[in-house]
Amino acid sequence: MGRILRCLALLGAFAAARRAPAQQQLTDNTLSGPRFLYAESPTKTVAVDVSRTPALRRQLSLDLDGRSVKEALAIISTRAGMDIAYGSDAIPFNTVLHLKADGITVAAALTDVLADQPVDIVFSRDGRATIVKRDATKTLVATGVVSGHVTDAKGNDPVRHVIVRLEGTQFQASTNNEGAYRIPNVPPGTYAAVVRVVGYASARQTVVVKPDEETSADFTLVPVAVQLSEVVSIGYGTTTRRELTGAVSSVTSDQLTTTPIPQIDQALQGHAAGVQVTGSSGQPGAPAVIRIRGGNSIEAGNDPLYVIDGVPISTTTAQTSTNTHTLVTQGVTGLNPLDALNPDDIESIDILKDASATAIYGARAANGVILITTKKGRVGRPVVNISGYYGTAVVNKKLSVLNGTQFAEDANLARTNAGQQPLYTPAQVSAFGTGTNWENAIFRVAPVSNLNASVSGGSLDTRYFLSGNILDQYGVVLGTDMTRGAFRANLDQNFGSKFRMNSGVTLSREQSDVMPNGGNGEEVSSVILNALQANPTLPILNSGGTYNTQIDPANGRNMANPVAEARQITNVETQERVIGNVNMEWDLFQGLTLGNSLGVDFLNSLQDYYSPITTYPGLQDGGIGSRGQLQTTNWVEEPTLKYQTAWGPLTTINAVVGSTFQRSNTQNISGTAQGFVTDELGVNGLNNAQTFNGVFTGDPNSSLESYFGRLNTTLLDRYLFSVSGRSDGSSKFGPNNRYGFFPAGAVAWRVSQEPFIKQLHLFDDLKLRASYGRTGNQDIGNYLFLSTLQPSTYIFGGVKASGYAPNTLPNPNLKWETTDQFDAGFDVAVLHSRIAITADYYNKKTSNLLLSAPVPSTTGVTNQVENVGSVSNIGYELGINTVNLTGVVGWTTSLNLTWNKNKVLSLVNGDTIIIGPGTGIGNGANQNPTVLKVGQPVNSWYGYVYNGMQNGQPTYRTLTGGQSTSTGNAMQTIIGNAQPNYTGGLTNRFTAGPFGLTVFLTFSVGGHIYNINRSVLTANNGVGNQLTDVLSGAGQNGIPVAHTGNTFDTRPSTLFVEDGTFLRGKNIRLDFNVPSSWMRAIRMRHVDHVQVYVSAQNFFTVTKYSGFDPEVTEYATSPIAQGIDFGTYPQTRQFTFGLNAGF
Amino acid sequence: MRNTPRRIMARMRPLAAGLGLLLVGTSCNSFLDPHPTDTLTQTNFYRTAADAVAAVNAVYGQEQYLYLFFFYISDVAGDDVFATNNFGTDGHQLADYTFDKTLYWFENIWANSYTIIQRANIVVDRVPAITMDTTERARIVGEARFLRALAYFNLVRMYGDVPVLLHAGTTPQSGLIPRTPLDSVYKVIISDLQAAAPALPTSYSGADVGRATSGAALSLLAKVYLTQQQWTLAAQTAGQVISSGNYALYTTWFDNFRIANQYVSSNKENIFTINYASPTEAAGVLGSITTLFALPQGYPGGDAYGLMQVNPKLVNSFSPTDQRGNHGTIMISPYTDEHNTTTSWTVPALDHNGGAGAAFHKYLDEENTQNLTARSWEQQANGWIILRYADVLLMYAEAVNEGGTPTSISRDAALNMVRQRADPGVPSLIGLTQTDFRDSLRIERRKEFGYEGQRWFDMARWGVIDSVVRVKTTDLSILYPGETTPHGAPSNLFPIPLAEIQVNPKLTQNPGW
Repeated sequence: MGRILRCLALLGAFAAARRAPAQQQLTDNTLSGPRFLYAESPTKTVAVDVSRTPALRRQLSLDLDGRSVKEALAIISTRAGMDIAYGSDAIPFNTVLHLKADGITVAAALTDVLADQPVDIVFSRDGRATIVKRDATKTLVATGVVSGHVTDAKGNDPVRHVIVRLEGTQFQASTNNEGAYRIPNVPPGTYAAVVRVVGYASARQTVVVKPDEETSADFTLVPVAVQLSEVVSIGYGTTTRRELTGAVSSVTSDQLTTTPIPQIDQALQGHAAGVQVTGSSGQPGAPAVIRIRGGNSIEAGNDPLYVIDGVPISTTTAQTSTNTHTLVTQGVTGLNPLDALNPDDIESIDILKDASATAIYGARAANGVILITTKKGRVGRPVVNISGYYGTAVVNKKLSVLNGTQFAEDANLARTNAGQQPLYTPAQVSAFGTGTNWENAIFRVAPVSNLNASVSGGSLDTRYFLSGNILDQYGVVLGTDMTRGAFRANLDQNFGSKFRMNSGVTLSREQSDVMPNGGNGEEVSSVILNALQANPTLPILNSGGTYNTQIDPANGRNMANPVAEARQITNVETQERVIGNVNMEWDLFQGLTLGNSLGVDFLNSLQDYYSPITTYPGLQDGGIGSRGQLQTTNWVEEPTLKYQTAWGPLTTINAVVGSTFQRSNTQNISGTAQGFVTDELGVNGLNNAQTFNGVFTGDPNSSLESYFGRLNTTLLDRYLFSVSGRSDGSSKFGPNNRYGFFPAGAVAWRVSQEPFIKQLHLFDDLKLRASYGRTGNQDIGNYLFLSTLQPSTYIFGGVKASGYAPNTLPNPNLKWETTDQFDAGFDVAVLHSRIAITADYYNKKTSNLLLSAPVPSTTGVTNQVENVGSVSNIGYELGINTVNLTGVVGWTTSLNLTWNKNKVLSLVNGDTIIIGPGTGIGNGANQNPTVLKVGQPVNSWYGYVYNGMQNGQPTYRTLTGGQSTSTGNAMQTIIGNAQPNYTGGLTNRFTAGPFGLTVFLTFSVGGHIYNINRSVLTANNGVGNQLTDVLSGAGQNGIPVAHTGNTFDTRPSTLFVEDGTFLRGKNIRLDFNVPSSWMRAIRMRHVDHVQVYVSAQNFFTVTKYSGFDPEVTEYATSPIAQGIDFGTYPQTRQFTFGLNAGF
Repeated sequence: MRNTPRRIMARMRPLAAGLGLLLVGTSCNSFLDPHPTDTLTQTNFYRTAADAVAAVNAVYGQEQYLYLFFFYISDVAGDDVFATNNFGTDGHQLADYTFDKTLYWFENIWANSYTIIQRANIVVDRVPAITMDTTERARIVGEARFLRALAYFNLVRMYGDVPVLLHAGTTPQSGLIPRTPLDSVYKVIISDLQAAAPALPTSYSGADVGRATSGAALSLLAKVYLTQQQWTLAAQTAGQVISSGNYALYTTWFDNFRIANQYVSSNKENIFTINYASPTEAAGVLGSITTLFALPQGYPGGDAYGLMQVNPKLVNSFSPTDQRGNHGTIMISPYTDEHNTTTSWTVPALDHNGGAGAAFHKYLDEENTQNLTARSWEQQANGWIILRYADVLLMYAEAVNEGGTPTSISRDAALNMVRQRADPGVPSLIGLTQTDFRDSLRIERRKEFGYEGQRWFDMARWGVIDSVVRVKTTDLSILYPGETTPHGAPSNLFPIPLAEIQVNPKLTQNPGW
């Protein structure tokens, strides 16, 4: 606020356009002015050569007319980038000045301001200036110390790692594990010592520092559930929670790193209302599915826009090609783009949810925006932080399948029931015993280790943060792992008083061994499905020690050995990523800042697949291999002009205009070959293969040109208004609709600031908010509006001939999907801010969906991407933070709940239902229950209704209400959907002395899971292994009586829809903050703080789901096929030991 | 409203220009205009002779997709094929003739046919304007018109009245047209073939073998006339092909199905074939699935799906000496191949009592090791024969018997050439009555062309679909209790795909569907 006022005052002075000469003639050695001295040592000062000191020769334009000396010094300090400290007794600071000067040097200005004062200015080694009384010059370096304790309200519990700062100076220190701090070398004087920390009301007190004395200043902090002065990123700027008009959830680094999860998307789970995060699988590095206020889109993607320090990052990594045997068909999905980020580098994550918050990102904002801010260096001595953890993970659950004898009996039964000879003799059956437990054979105890080190610090003009991270995570399935090396460097530099630069770069490399999961097909392998179906009477290894791939007598095919597939199939993805930004700011006038941000996101992704002839897919093809590479450079330039000013103390204006120029260039290539003479070279031997299946090359480019603006005003500290707009031009859209405009507006009323409410003394904060706005989604492929020619091949005379033909029609009207959103909410804090509640209602309608709409085939094409169809999302969000106990035992609670109701409002061409729209679900050969139906949520399923058994076979309800084993006259209907009614997270944190305990629960209620695995594992045909359910359950509950020729059900039905409700102990963590006295006792004085902890992830799960885990979604990237379990890598339970230390 | 963004843009441009001091000089329009670098667009194509060849090659390329599953319609829906348990619901619906207008394969055939027509229309529209060798240009346009005629001929036979487009459409609305009466469709087909025949060469060499020839155009024209029951024109046109001397039957019946004979100009029997991935050119080329789907499951050497069982009536119709029987059209368990490997199988059946049904052998080339032992999709090189000389001979014989004037050999000679090539020992059929000859000819067509894409069209042409389906479904209900109940066919046409009617309200449905 003070800064804004100052800006206003100075701007007013400019407006006066009166230029007065300096009121006094000044020379450097005027007796009445201060001396400039340099403290060579504590006892010796020398005069500074002003003419040779750049910091003092810097020229300023100042209008200090009517200002006090104190104000003038503050202005000079800010503008000169020079830290000026003084005691209040040094000079009469309230003296009013009459000074106005253009191009005056810092030295002259200081001389001018301090003329007639009996003071000197003494510079220390680190460039700090201290104003001291001239008669005190001889003791000028006899500084004092401020020290004390910071404790919780009840006075006993120390508050650790918080910064105590002397306001207006850069003197600061952080508290240790006992809550003690010490600020040395403080020049004598009177200061305001301030503590600001999340979770407590800020505190301040006046301290008087005397030479060679230690001044004590203890702070007792009052916990609050909300901090109104918390800084919130809103895109192209920041604001405070007090002045926020939109719906923005913030997640702090503490919340992110409490759970030892190496990916930030998964770490967001359960921490923000309105943000539904679902882990897709247990594969290390697998992406989480993030939906902010529900899914808006059917085909154009529902992932939010991620912006890291102003750089929007690309989330496309997977190879796309429709050729058979490409990487995609082998279960390669592309690494999670957020894997590149180390959660320890993140300072905060702000999630923009409503349109007034997101519309500034226009055509990319419909799915919400996640702003990630990395840690920056602070002024002061270098601070080193080391943290690391080691853990072990096990699979969360195993399924119960038949053992050797049970399988043999069932296989025989299937044959005798079909009038055939039994497969195994009675002697064989009993000799098999338990046989091979294939699940145990592929699962293992998997270690994970993670190590972070960072150093940060800096001077007034240069601040830095450097960090490194090494992650080594094994998966619980053999042959799967992920490693990451990441480096982050942030550098902030001031050039003079008006020009600043903030910059940062992330370099990272991840490599992940991905479990092959090509589904239940014959030319692909799926380790999980094969392990569940593998014949338990067969050994893992042949007698010679090679993997058993002999003919399996039960199915007449070569053994698809899951251990061999897990260990020997190469399915590796590597990504190298550089994310960098340089942001420059130039203060044109007071309050007016010109900025330009340059960002780059470079990704190099390599995907290797090789199946040797010792595994089933390779056996069929003589070895098969693919390599794909994708390289994307995404650069963005965003010039902005920001203005902030204030009228009076309670009314502020904040405005920004800017433009975006963004281009994304990608090159990719993938090639596949089969028939290898030797497996020795693996995928590196592609060129020696007998059959070269094909190569795919792509070079998609896109660009975005945008203009945006936003105006935020706060009137009388209680009426808040925000309007914003963005005009986005995108190369992805047709010439008739290339630009879209996305406006938004919001109002908020801080009722608690109204005098009549204040009188009640009831609310610490009460704010009502409402917003409306429009955003877009342009997350579709390139050139879809053009009629492009596609290659075509044919054979003439035994030789390949190439052709070209258009396979699309032009659509010059193609444009973005449009989401209109209304939001109403309130923020309230009561009981001395011990209880803070944020609640929101939203109503979103997305229209002009980018759908592949059927067109008459007589045009030569069957589908064209058009803007048709609409979807609505209506929901409520509730976030409650409470401080339950303070003192010896502290207890805080954080609860968030999200209700979202998603509904398809219309589809293409008046269609009310599109059956099986999710392409590739069930890998084409198995069940595909996906459906889009007007009036139903996206991610609904369509199929038959199980209606009891007949003659040992399941029957389905017919149209007339009867039952039928054939589906010819059976009824098909909506049989479930994956959308939960509500989801949430509950965090309880307890503290007692040096101990802390965090218990974090997540839950999801009302969603369903479609379990395709079960159809394969209950076919009961004596061919593959089955769930033990077939022992007692055959002939009932949808499980057919054992019979040769039973096929696994390819018909979607209610038999495979299961309740996906769960309550999960996501994380429990006990930490211990080693008392500093212990560290001193072992002579580790440099150690600032040490914390050790143990934690358990997924420590319990309550669910009715019969599969491995209710947190499952095999088709994570599909917007319309969530909640399907099909050979999916199961989730894990992990136990972790970790350590954090600061020096 | 649509102007609003632009107005705002215009107002903001000066501001952007001010900020532009910091920018690399980029003008707004060029920055946003996409210039695809990895894909061609129509604006920079159809300029050279090579473009013309590529344009017509793309028509052939689409034929691979049309004929990939063509046998589902032409043969599974006929009476030669029973669906085994491995076959999906669609196969059983086709074999049992219980499908309806929603069955995907009708949409598949419809959509692929119109894609072929659209691509052929592009050639007919754009190639004449290209500066190039005039003979080659005429040939390319002739190829396109032949392929367009073939597509319309399939459509008109399956669906009756169909929409006719003779120029390439550029908007979805261009496809919103009603059905054209059957006679008018035939006029288009005949006009295309009459134009194509003189523009096309009699044969090709080298890497052009397999393109449409004048013989192909005339043979197809003969079939068009035959289907229209224009016996004189049919006999005349088929006779023209016979008299040309360009075609002959292989002495050994199976030689025509050998992969090695597929791509060579020395093959005098095949007149027009849709080619799939050759053994040496598998990369990026679609393979056929005819062997893969037909061979019995468990047949050694690679994947075989065993979807189909040969109707025992067809199996029993072959005499033991007929080359088209075991080892020819069919294989019977236990089966000993040319390498003396013996295999036996049972037709897997849920609801039938076991025992081995015969499987189709027609496309299994036992000399070709890849075809015999490695049956992944990419390596299937079996072509799909559209027209061959035996067909021309039998068309001629039929046309003459039904009233056409002989213009070349006699009807008996034409029929006997086909019969005695396959079974040299059988006595000649001479001087049969028209009715007896008709019966013999129809039996001969069934034996000669089993699983070759002819049967349903012959049944439709002869107007016997209802009676044949009645017999087949009766057989099925006896052999496989519960599979179906005896019934006839609702129509001599297939249903117009429901999806097309939904998207184009100007289309009407065929009676009975």
